[in-house]
Amino acid sequence: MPFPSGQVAIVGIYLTDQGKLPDRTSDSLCVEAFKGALDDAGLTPGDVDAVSPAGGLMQAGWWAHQLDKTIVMAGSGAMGAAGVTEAAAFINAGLAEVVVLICGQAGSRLGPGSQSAAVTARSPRVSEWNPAPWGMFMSAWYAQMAQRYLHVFGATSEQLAEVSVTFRRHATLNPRSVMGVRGEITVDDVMGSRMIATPLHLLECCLDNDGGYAIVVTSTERARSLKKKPVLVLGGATALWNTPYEEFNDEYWPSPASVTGPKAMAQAGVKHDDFDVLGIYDCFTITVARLMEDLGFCKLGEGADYVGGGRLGLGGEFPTNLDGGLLSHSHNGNPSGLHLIEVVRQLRGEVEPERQVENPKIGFVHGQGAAVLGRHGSCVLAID
Amino acid sequence: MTTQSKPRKPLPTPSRDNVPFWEGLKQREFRIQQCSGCGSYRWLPKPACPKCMSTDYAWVAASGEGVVWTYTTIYRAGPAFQDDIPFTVAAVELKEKPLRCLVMSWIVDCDAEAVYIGMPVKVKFEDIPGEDTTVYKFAPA
Ligand SMILES: [Zn+2]
Repeated sequence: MPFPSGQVAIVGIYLTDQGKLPDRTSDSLCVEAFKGALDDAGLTPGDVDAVSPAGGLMQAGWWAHQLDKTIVMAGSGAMGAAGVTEAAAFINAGLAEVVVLICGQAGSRLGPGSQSAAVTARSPRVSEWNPAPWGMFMSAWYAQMAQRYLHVFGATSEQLAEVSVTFRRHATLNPRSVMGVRGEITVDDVMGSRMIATPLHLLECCLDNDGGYAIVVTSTERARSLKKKPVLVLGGATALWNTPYEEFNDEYWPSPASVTGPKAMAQAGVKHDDFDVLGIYDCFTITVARLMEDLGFCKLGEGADYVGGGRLGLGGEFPTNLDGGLLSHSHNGNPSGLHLIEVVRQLRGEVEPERQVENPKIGFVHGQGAAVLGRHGSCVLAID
Repeated sequence: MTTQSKPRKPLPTPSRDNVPFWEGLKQREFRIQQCSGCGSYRWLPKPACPKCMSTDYAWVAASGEGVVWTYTTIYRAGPAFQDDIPFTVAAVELKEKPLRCLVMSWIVDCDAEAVYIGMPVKVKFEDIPGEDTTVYKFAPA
Protein backbone atom coordinates (compact mmCIF):
# COMPACT_ATOMS: atom_id res chain seq x y z
CA MET A 1 0.00 0.00 0.00
CA PRO A 2 1.50 3.37 -1.00
CA PHE A 3 2.14 6.20 1.42
CA PRO A 4 -0.92 8.48 1.53
CA SER A 5 0.90 11.20 -0.37
CA GLY A 6 -0.80 14.56 0.01
CA GLN A 7 -3.71 13.12 2.01
CA VAL A 8 -2.33 14.24 5.37
CA ALA A 9 -1.30 17.74 6.37
CA ILE A 10 0.43 19.71 9.11
CA VAL A 11 -2.08 22.25 10.30
CA GLY A 12 -0.74 23.63 13.55
CA ILE A 13 2.66 24.40 15.05
CA TYR A 14 3.88 26.17 18.15
CA LEU A 15 7.22 26.99 19.74
CA THR A 16 7.53 28.06 23.36
CA ASP A 17 10.46 30.22 24.41
CA GLN A 18 13.74 28.32 23.98
CA GLY A 19 16.77 28.74 26.22
CA LYS A 20 17.43 28.66 29.94
CA LEU A 21 13.97 28.72 31.46
CA PRO A 22 14.48 28.33 35.22
CA ASP A 23 10.88 29.23 36.01
CA ARG A 24 9.39 26.58 33.76
CA THR A 25 8.70 22.85 34.09
CA SER A 26 8.53 20.26 31.31
CA ASP A 27 4.80 19.85 31.96
CA SER A 28 4.03 23.56 31.73
CA LEU A 29 5.98 23.79 28.45
CA CYS A 30 4.06 20.80 27.05
CA VAL A 31 0.70 22.33 27.97
CA GLU A 32 1.62 25.69 26.49
CA ALA A 33 2.85 24.05 23.26
CA PHE A 34 -0.18 21.76 22.98
CA LYS A 35 -2.68 24.60 23.37
CA GLY A 36 -0.66 26.93 21.18
CA ALA A 37 -0.41 24.47 18.28
CA LEU A 38 -4.14 23.66 18.45
CA ASP A 39 -4.94 27.38 18.46
CA ASP A 40 -2.65 27.85 15.44
CA ALA A 41 -4.73 25.19 13.67
CA GLY A 42 -8.10 26.48 14.82
CA LEU A 43 -8.78 23.28 16.77
CA THR A 44 -9.61 22.63 20.42
CA PRO A 45 -8.37 19.96 22.86
CA GLY A 46 -11.66 18.10 22.35
CA ASP A 47 -10.73 17.51 18.69
CA VAL A 48 -7.60 15.51 19.57
CA ASP A 49 -7.65 11.76 18.98
CA ALA A 50 -4.01 10.90 19.53
CA VAL A 51 -0.91 12.35 21.07
CA SER A 52 2.74 11.50 20.56
CA PRO A 53 4.52 12.94 23.57
CA ALA A 54 8.29 12.99 23.85
CA GLY A 55 7.81 11.58 27.34
CA GLY A 56 6.43 8.30 26.00
CA LEU A 57 3.65 6.15 27.41
CA MET A 58 3.53 7.63 30.91
CA GLN A 59 3.11 11.11 29.52
CA ALA A 60 0.49 9.86 27.03
CA GLY A 61 -1.49 8.53 29.99
CA TRP A 62 -1.35 11.91 31.64
CA TRP A 63 -2.67 13.50 28.46
CA ALA A 64 -5.56 11.04 28.34
CA HIS A 65 -6.43 12.04 31.90
CA GLN A 66 -6.02 15.72 31.11
CA LEU A 67 -8.29 15.51 28.05
CA ASP A 68 -10.76 13.28 29.92
CA LYS A 69 -10.97 10.92 26.97
CA THR A 70 -9.42 7.82 25.57
CA ILE A 71 -6.63 8.65 23.21
CA VAL A 72 -4.77 6.57 20.68
CA MET A 73 -1.05 6.63 21.29
CA ALA A 74 0.77 7.48 18.08
CA GLY A 75 3.87 6.33 19.79
CA SER A 76 6.83 7.91 18.20
CA GLY A 77 7.53 10.42 20.94
CA ALA A 78 7.52 13.74 19.10
CA MET A 79 10.31 12.56 16.84
CA GLY A 80 9.78 15.21 14.17
CA ALA A 81 9.56 13.72 10.68
CA ALA A 82 9.34 10.20 12.14
CA GLY A 83 6.41 11.28 14.31
CA VAL A 84 4.64 12.95 11.41
CA THR A 85 5.15 9.80 9.32
CA GLU A 86 3.54 7.66 12.02
CA ALA A 87 0.74 10.19 12.44
CA ALA A 88 0.08 10.00 8.69
CA ALA A 89 -0.17 6.20 8.94
CA PHE A 90 -2.59 6.44 11.89
CA ILE A 91 -4.75 8.99 10.13
CA ASN A 92 -4.77 7.11 6.83
CA ALA A 93 -5.74 3.90 8.63
CA GLY A 94 -8.68 5.65 10.25
CA LEU A 95 -7.34 5.14 13.77
CA ALA A 96 -7.21 8.86 14.48
CA GLU A 97 -8.09 12.09 12.73
CA VAL A 98 -6.19 14.69 14.75
CA VAL A 99 -2.74 13.80 16.12
CA VAL A 100 -0.55 16.11 18.21
CA LEU A 101 3.20 15.67 18.68
CA ILE A 102 4.31 17.25 21.95
CA CYS A 103 7.73 17.96 23.39
CA GLY A 104 8.70 20.00 26.43
CA GLN A 105 11.85 19.99 28.49
CA ALA A 106 12.99 22.07 31.42
CA GLY A 107 15.57 21.56 34.12
CA SER A 108 17.40 18.56 32.72
CA ARG A 109 20.58 18.38 30.69
CA LEU A 110 22.11 15.79 28.39
CA GLY A 111 25.83 16.59 28.62
CA PRO A 112 28.44 15.11 30.96
CA GLY A 113 27.76 17.90 33.45
CA SER A 114 24.51 16.12 34.22
CA GLN A 115 26.30 12.95 35.39
CA SER A 116 26.16 12.11 39.08
CA ALA A 117 28.65 13.80 41.41
CA ALA A 118 27.48 11.72 44.38
CA VAL A 119 30.25 10.28 46.53
CA THR A 120 29.33 6.69 47.30
CA ALA A 121 31.08 3.85 49.12
CA ARG A 122 30.46 1.44 46.25
CA SER A 123 30.59 2.10 42.52
CA PRO A 124 27.26 2.98 40.93
CA ARG A 125 26.11 0.31 38.48
CA VAL A 126 24.78 0.79 34.96
CA SER A 127 23.41 -1.75 32.49
CA GLU A 128 25.85 -4.30 31.11
CA TRP A 129 27.10 -2.56 27.93
CA ASN A 130 26.27 1.03 28.81
CA PRO A 131 29.31 3.14 27.82
CA ALA A 132 29.13 5.35 30.93
CA PRO A 133 32.00 3.44 32.66
CA TRP A 134 34.28 4.78 29.91
CA GLY A 135 33.24 8.39 30.49
CA MET A 136 31.31 8.46 27.23
CA PHE A 137 28.48 10.85 26.40
CA MET A 138 26.69 11.86 23.21
CA SER A 139 29.32 14.28 21.90
CA ALA A 140 32.02 11.62 22.31
CA TRP A 141 30.00 9.12 20.26
CA TYR A 142 29.68 11.54 17.38
CA ALA A 143 33.34 12.48 17.83
CA GLN A 144 34.36 8.87 17.22
CA MET A 145 32.29 8.89 14.05
CA ALA A 146 33.83 12.21 12.97
CA GLN A 147 37.35 10.94 13.67
CA ARG A 148 36.81 7.91 11.47
CA TYR A 149 35.22 10.07 8.77
CA LEU A 150 38.11 12.54 8.62
CA HIS A 151 40.55 9.63 8.50
CA VAL A 152 38.83 7.66 5.75
CA PHE A 153 37.87 10.53 3.47
CA GLY A 154 40.68 13.00 4.14
CA ALA A 155 38.22 15.72 5.15
CA THR A 156 39.13 18.51 7.59
CA SER A 157 37.62 20.05 10.70
CA GLU A 158 37.74 23.43 8.95
CA GLN A 159 35.33 22.07 6.34
CA LEU A 160 32.93 20.83 9.01
CA ALA A 161 33.15 24.17 10.83
CA GLU A 162 31.38 25.85 7.92
CA VAL A 163 28.16 24.19 9.13
CA SER A 164 28.37 26.04 12.45
CA VAL A 165 29.21 29.32 10.70
CA THR A 166 26.23 29.07 8.32
CA PHE A 167 23.65 28.14 10.93
CA ARG A 168 24.89 30.82 13.34
CA ARG A 169 24.35 33.40 10.62
CA HIS A 170 20.77 32.17 10.29
CA ALA A 171 20.35 32.38 14.06
CA THR A 172 21.32 36.05 14.01
CA LEU A 173 18.30 36.58 11.74
CA ASN A 174 16.01 34.74 14.15
CA PRO A 175 15.22 36.90 17.18
CA ARG A 176 13.94 33.86 19.11
CA SER A 177 17.12 31.80 18.69
CA VAL A 178 19.30 31.14 21.73
CA MET A 179 22.63 32.08 20.11
CA GLY A 180 21.61 34.77 17.63
CA VAL A 181 22.36 37.55 20.10
CA ARG A 182 25.99 36.41 20.24
CA GLY A 183 26.47 37.42 16.61
CA GLU A 184 28.09 35.71 13.65
CA ILE A 185 31.11 33.43 13.97
CA THR A 186 33.96 32.45 11.65
CA VAL A 187 35.69 29.15 10.90
CA ASP A 188 38.56 30.42 13.07
CA ASP A 189 36.14 30.98 15.96
CA VAL A 190 34.94 27.39 15.67
CA MET A 191 38.47 26.00 15.44
CA GLY A 192 39.53 28.19 18.37
CA SER A 193 36.69 27.12 20.65
CA ARG A 194 37.70 24.56 23.27
CA MET A 195 38.01 20.93 22.37
CA ILE A 196 35.20 18.75 23.76
CA ALA A 197 36.11 15.36 22.28
CA THR A 198 38.52 15.19 19.34
CA PRO A 199 37.89 16.22 16.63
CA LEU A 200 34.76 18.11 17.80
CA HIS A 201 35.13 21.63 19.22
CA LEU A 202 32.56 23.30 21.45
CA LEU A 203 31.06 25.30 18.57
CA GLU A 204 30.55 22.09 16.57
CA CYS A 205 28.24 20.73 19.28
CA CYS A 206 24.56 21.57 19.61
CA LEU A 207 23.02 23.53 22.43
CA ASP A 208 21.45 21.86 25.46
CA ASN A 209 18.59 24.03 26.66
CA ASP A 210 14.96 24.16 27.78
CA GLY A 211 11.98 24.60 25.54
CA GLY A 212 8.85 23.05 24.10
CA TYR A 213 7.02 22.63 20.83
CA ALA A 214 3.97 20.93 19.36
CA ILE A 215 2.86 19.90 15.88
CA VAL A 216 -0.72 19.11 14.81
CA VAL A 217 -1.35 16.65 11.97
CA THR A 218 -4.71 15.78 10.40
CA SER A 219 -6.28 14.63 7.15
CA THR A 220 -5.97 17.05 4.23
CA GLU A 221 -9.74 16.91 3.91
CA ARG A 222 -10.19 18.19 7.47
CA ALA A 223 -7.29 20.59 7.00
CA ARG A 224 -9.05 22.48 4.19
CA SER A 225 -11.59 23.90 6.65
CA LEU A 226 -9.04 24.95 9.30
CA LYS A 227 -7.42 28.28 10.09
CA LYS A 228 -4.06 28.12 8.27
CA LYS A 229 -3.13 27.01 4.80
CA PRO A 230 -2.28 23.29 5.17
CA VAL A 231 1.25 22.05 4.62
CA LEU A 232 0.85 18.76 2.81
CA VAL A 233 2.90 15.69 3.70
CA LEU A 234 3.89 14.34 0.27
CA GLY A 235 6.22 11.64 1.59
CA GLY A 236 7.28 10.22 4.91
CA ALA A 237 9.58 7.41 6.04
CA THR A 238 11.21 6.21 9.22
CA ALA A 239 13.90 3.65 10.01
CA LEU A 240 15.83 2.53 13.07
CA TRP A 241 19.11 0.69 12.97
CA ASN A 242 20.76 0.85 16.34
CA THR A 243 18.82 2.45 19.12
CA PRO A 244 20.63 1.67 22.34
CA TYR A 245 24.04 3.13 22.91
CA GLU A 246 25.01 -0.17 24.42
CA GLU A 247 25.90 -1.39 20.97
CA PHE A 248 28.32 -0.06 18.52
CA ASN A 249 27.98 -0.77 14.84
CA ASP A 250 31.13 -1.77 13.07
CA GLU A 251 30.36 0.74 10.33
CA TYR A 252 29.02 4.27 10.69
CA TRP A 253 27.90 4.51 7.12
CA PRO A 254 25.49 4.42 5.58
CA SER A 255 22.93 5.44 8.23
CA PRO A 256 19.15 4.90 8.24
CA ALA A 257 18.89 8.25 6.42
CA SER A 258 19.99 6.39 3.29
CA VAL A 259 16.69 4.51 3.53
CA THR A 260 14.31 7.21 4.74
CA GLY A 261 15.47 10.00 2.43
CA PRO A 262 15.14 8.22 -0.92
CA LYS A 263 11.91 6.53 0.21
CA ALA A 264 10.22 9.80 1.19
CA MET A 265 11.34 11.47 -2.04
CA ALA A 266 10.05 8.57 -4.14
CA GLN A 267 6.69 8.66 -2.36
CA ALA A 268 6.43 12.35 -3.10
CA GLY A 269 7.65 11.95 -6.69
CA VAL A 270 10.29 14.65 -6.23
CA LYS A 271 14.04 14.98 -6.66
CA HIS A 272 16.63 16.92 -4.69
CA ASP A 273 16.54 19.87 -7.08
CA ASP A 274 12.85 20.37 -6.31
CA PHE A 275 13.52 21.44 -2.73
CA ASP A 276 13.31 25.15 -1.92
CA VAL A 277 14.12 24.79 1.79
CA LEU A 278 15.63 22.10 4.01
CA GLY A 279 15.58 21.14 7.69
CA ILE A 280 18.50 18.80 8.42
CA TYR A 281 19.26 17.37 11.85
CA ASP A 282 22.41 19.09 13.09
CA CYS A 283 23.32 17.85 16.56
CA PHE A 284 26.98 18.11 15.48
CA THR A 285 28.72 19.45 12.38
CA ILE A 286 29.60 15.92 11.25
CA THR A 287 25.92 14.96 11.38
CA VAL A 288 25.03 17.40 8.61
CA ALA A 289 27.93 16.35 6.37
CA ARG A 290 26.97 12.68 6.74
CA LEU A 291 23.24 13.27 6.28
CA MET A 292 23.74 15.20 3.03
CA GLU A 293 25.55 12.11 1.73
CA ASP A 294 23.07 9.52 2.93
CA LEU A 295 20.10 11.58 1.78
CA GLY A 296 21.61 11.60 -1.70
CA PHE A 297 22.48 15.30 -2.04
CA CYS A 298 26.09 14.24 -2.62
CA LYS A 299 28.16 11.06 -2.58
CA LEU A 300 29.74 9.30 0.40
CA GLY A 301 32.89 11.17 1.34
CA GLU A 302 31.84 14.41 -0.36
CA GLY A 303 29.73 15.77 2.49
CA ALA A 304 32.41 17.81 4.26
CA ASP A 305 33.11 19.72 1.06
CA TYR A 306 29.45 19.90 0.11
CA VAL A 307 28.31 21.73 3.27
CA GLY A 308 30.69 24.63 2.62
CA GLY A 309 30.73 27.47 0.13
CA GLY A 310 27.42 28.91 1.26
CA ARG A 311 25.42 26.08 -0.29
CA LEU A 312 23.28 25.60 2.85
CA GLY A 313 22.99 29.30 3.63
CA LEU A 314 20.15 31.70 2.99
CA GLY A 315 20.45 32.55 -0.70
CA GLY A 316 22.41 29.36 -1.40
CA GLU A 317 21.44 26.32 -3.43
CA PHE A 318 19.69 24.62 -0.48
CA PRO A 319 18.83 27.05 2.33
CA THR A 320 18.95 24.86 5.45
CA ASN A 321 18.01 25.32 9.10
CA LEU A 322 17.05 28.95 8.70
CA ASP A 323 16.10 29.16 12.38
CA GLY A 324 19.75 28.47 13.32
CA GLY A 325 19.33 24.73 13.86
CA LEU A 326 20.30 22.73 16.91
CA LEU A 327 23.72 24.37 16.78
CA SER A 328 22.47 27.95 17.24
CA HIS A 329 18.67 28.05 17.60
CA SER A 330 17.75 25.43 20.21
CA HIS A 331 18.24 21.83 21.30
CA ASN A 332 15.56 21.07 23.85
CA GLY A 333 15.92 17.44 24.78
CA ASN A 334 14.04 15.87 21.89
CA PRO A 335 14.43 18.54 19.24
CA SER A 336 13.81 16.73 15.95
CA GLY A 337 10.49 18.56 15.54
CA LEU A 338 12.20 21.94 15.49
CA HIS A 339 13.53 21.51 11.95
CA LEU A 340 10.07 20.53 10.79
CA ILE A 341 8.47 23.57 12.42
CA GLU A 342 10.91 25.92 10.69
CA VAL A 343 10.23 24.35 7.28
CA VAL A 344 6.47 24.62 7.87
CA ARG A 345 6.85 28.28 8.81
CA GLN A 346 9.01 28.90 5.72
CA LEU A 347 6.43 27.25 3.45
CA ARG A 348 3.68 29.33 5.05
CA GLY A 349 5.82 32.44 4.50
CA GLU A 350 5.47 33.53 8.10
CA VAL A 351 9.03 33.96 9.41
CA GLU A 352 10.81 37.29 9.74
CA PRO A 353 11.42 38.72 6.25
CA GLU A 354 15.21 38.72 6.81
CA ARG A 355 15.37 34.92 6.77
CA GLN A 356 12.35 34.09 4.63
CA VAL A 357 13.12 32.05 1.51
CA GLU A 358 11.30 33.64 -1.42
CA ASN A 359 8.05 31.85 -2.16
CA PRO A 360 9.09 28.28 -1.30
CA LYS A 361 6.82 25.45 -2.47
CA ILE A 362 8.53 22.21 -1.48
CA GLY A 363 10.61 21.46 1.62
CA PHE A 364 12.46 18.45 2.97
CA VAL A 365 12.98 17.60 6.64
CA HIS A 366 15.21 14.99 8.20
CA GLY A 367 15.28 14.26 11.92
CA GLN A 368 16.91 11.65 14.09
CA GLY A 369 17.34 10.66 17.67
CA ALA A 370 18.43 8.15 20.29
CA ALA A 371 21.78 7.23 18.76
CA VAL A 372 24.33 7.95 16.05
CA LEU A 373 22.52 5.39 13.93
CA GLY A 374 19.27 5.60 15.87
CA ARG A 375 15.77 6.57 14.89
CA HIS A 376 15.64 8.49 11.62
CA GLY A 377 12.71 10.11 9.85
CA SER A 378 12.32 12.03 6.59
CA CYS A 379 9.38 14.04 5.25
CA VAL A 380 8.70 15.88 2.02
CA LEU A 381 6.39 18.83 2.70
CA ALA A 382 4.62 21.13 0.26
CA ILE A 383 2.21 24.03 0.14
CA ASP A 384 -0.30 24.65 -2.65
CA MET B 1 40.55 3.35 56.73
CA THR B 2 40.43 5.91 53.96
CA THR B 3 37.39 7.99 53.28
CA GLN B 4 36.09 7.98 49.74
CA SER B 5 36.01 11.64 48.77
CA LYS B 6 35.37 11.54 45.05
CA PRO B 7 32.55 10.14 42.94
CA ARG B 8 33.33 6.62 41.74
CA LYS B 9 33.13 5.69 38.09
CA PRO B 10 30.10 3.60 37.17
CA LEU B 11 30.57 -0.12 36.58
CA PRO B 12 28.63 -2.52 34.37
CA THR B 13 26.05 -4.92 35.79
CA PRO B 14 26.96 -8.39 34.44
CA SER B 15 23.89 -10.23 33.15
CA ARG B 16 23.02 -13.86 33.83
CA ASP B 17 23.73 -14.75 30.19
CA ASN B 18 27.26 -13.39 30.25
CA VAL B 19 28.72 -14.64 33.52
CA PRO B 20 31.43 -16.58 31.62
CA PHE B 21 32.63 -13.36 30.00
CA TRP B 22 32.94 -11.45 33.28
CA GLU B 23 34.48 -14.45 35.05
CA GLY B 24 36.91 -14.72 32.13
CA LEU B 25 38.21 -11.21 32.78
CA LYS B 26 39.11 -12.25 36.33
CA GLN B 27 41.07 -15.13 34.82
CA ARG B 28 42.78 -12.76 32.35
CA GLU B 29 40.87 -13.95 29.32
CA PHE B 30 38.81 -11.80 26.95
CA ARG B 31 36.11 -14.23 25.89
CA ILE B 32 33.90 -13.90 22.85
CA GLN B 33 31.17 -16.20 21.62
CA GLN B 34 31.59 -18.58 18.70
CA CYS B 35 28.38 -19.69 16.99
CA SER B 36 27.98 -23.48 16.83
CA GLY B 37 25.69 -23.06 13.83
CA CYS B 38 27.92 -21.11 11.43
CA GLY B 39 31.22 -20.70 13.24
CA SER B 40 31.05 -16.89 13.41
CA TYR B 41 32.65 -15.04 16.28
CA ARG B 42 30.49 -12.39 17.87
CA TRP B 43 30.70 -9.39 20.15
CA LEU B 44 28.81 -8.02 22.06
CA PRO B 45 27.77 -11.27 23.70
CA LYS B 46 24.14 -11.98 22.83
CA PRO B 47 21.89 -15.06 23.13
CA ALA B 48 21.71 -15.52 19.35
CA CYS B 49 24.02 -15.30 16.34
CA PRO B 50 23.51 -12.11 14.26
CA LYS B 51 24.25 -14.10 11.11
CA CYS B 52 22.18 -17.32 11.47
CA MET B 53 20.16 -16.72 14.70
CA SER B 54 21.43 -19.98 16.20
CA THR B 55 21.31 -19.94 19.99
CA ASP B 56 24.05 -22.57 20.33
CA TYR B 57 27.48 -21.17 21.00
CA ALA B 58 30.71 -21.64 22.91
CA TRP B 59 32.79 -19.13 24.86
CA VAL B 60 36.30 -18.89 23.45
CA ALA B 61 39.28 -16.86 24.59
CA ALA B 62 40.06 -14.17 22.00
CA SER B 63 43.64 -13.17 21.30
CA GLY B 64 42.95 -9.80 22.90
CA GLU B 65 44.90 -8.24 20.04
CA GLY B 66 43.46 -5.69 17.68
CA VAL B 67 43.78 -2.28 16.10
CA VAL B 68 42.19 1.08 16.88
CA TRP B 69 39.33 1.52 14.39
CA THR B 70 38.37 4.95 15.69
CA TYR B 71 38.81 6.93 18.90
CA THR B 72 38.18 10.23 20.60
CA THR B 73 40.28 12.06 23.14
CA ILE B 74 37.90 13.53 25.68
CA TYR B 75 38.49 16.94 27.29
CA ARG B 76 35.13 17.40 28.96
CA ALA B 77 33.66 14.68 31.15
CA GLY B 78 31.45 13.95 34.13
CA PRO B 79 32.42 14.41 37.78
CA ALA B 80 33.85 10.88 38.17
CA PHE B 81 36.33 11.46 35.34
CA GLN B 82 37.75 14.86 36.21
CA ASP B 83 41.14 13.49 37.28
CA ASP B 84 41.45 11.51 34.05
CA ILE B 85 41.09 14.35 31.51
CA PRO B 86 42.26 14.03 28.82
CA PHE B 87 41.53 10.37 28.23
CA THR B 88 41.05 8.43 25.03
CA VAL B 89 38.18 6.06 24.31
CA ALA B 90 38.70 3.86 21.28
CA ALA B 91 36.68 1.39 19.29
CA VAL B 92 38.98 -1.56 18.74
CA GLU B 93 38.68 -4.14 16.00
CA LEU B 94 39.83 -7.47 17.39
CA LYS B 95 41.98 -9.82 15.32
CA GLU B 96 39.08 -12.31 15.24
CA LYS B 97 36.80 -9.61 13.73
CA PRO B 98 33.71 -10.65 15.73
CA LEU B 99 30.30 -9.60 14.37
CA ARG B 100 28.83 -6.81 14.76
CA CYS B 101 30.38 -4.51 17.28
CA LEU B 102 33.81 -3.15 17.86
CA VAL B 103 35.13 -3.32 21.41
CA MET B 104 35.02 0.01 23.15
CA SER B 105 37.34 0.95 25.96
CA TRP B 106 40.13 3.21 27.10
CA ILE B 107 43.61 3.20 25.59
CA VAL B 108 45.98 3.38 28.55
CA ASP B 109 49.74 3.21 29.17
CA CYS B 110 50.40 5.88 26.57
CA ASP B 111 49.86 9.60 26.06
CA ALA B 112 46.13 10.11 25.45
CA GLU B 113 46.95 12.24 22.42
CA ALA B 114 49.30 9.65 20.91
CA VAL B 115 46.51 7.27 19.90
CA TYR B 116 45.88 6.93 16.15
CA ILE B 117 43.63 4.93 13.83
CA GLY B 118 45.36 1.68 12.97
CA MET B 119 47.37 1.60 16.20
CA PRO B 120 48.01 -2.01 17.32
CA VAL B 121 46.69 -2.63 20.82
CA LYS B 122 46.31 -5.48 23.29
CA VAL B 123 43.69 -5.97 25.97
CA LYS B 124 44.61 -5.56 29.63
CA PHE B 125 42.64 -6.27 32.75
CA GLU B 126 41.90 -4.13 35.80
CA ASP B 127 40.41 -5.41 39.02
CA ILE B 128 38.34 -2.65 40.62
CA PRO B 129 39.26 -2.29 44.30
CA GLY B 130 36.39 -3.11 46.65
CA GLU B 131 34.24 -4.45 43.82
CA ASP B 132 33.70 -7.96 42.50
CA THR B 133 34.26 -6.73 38.95
CA THR B 134 37.17 -6.76 36.54
CA VAL B 135 37.10 -4.42 33.54
CA TYR B 136 39.00 -4.47 30.25
CA LYS B 137 41.12 -1.75 28.73
CA PHE B 138 43.62 -1.65 25.88
CA ALA B 139 47.27 -0.65 25.76
CA PRO B 140 49.71 -0.25 22.87
CA ALA B 141 50.77 -3.72 21.69
ZN1 LIG C 1 25.72 -18.36 13.37
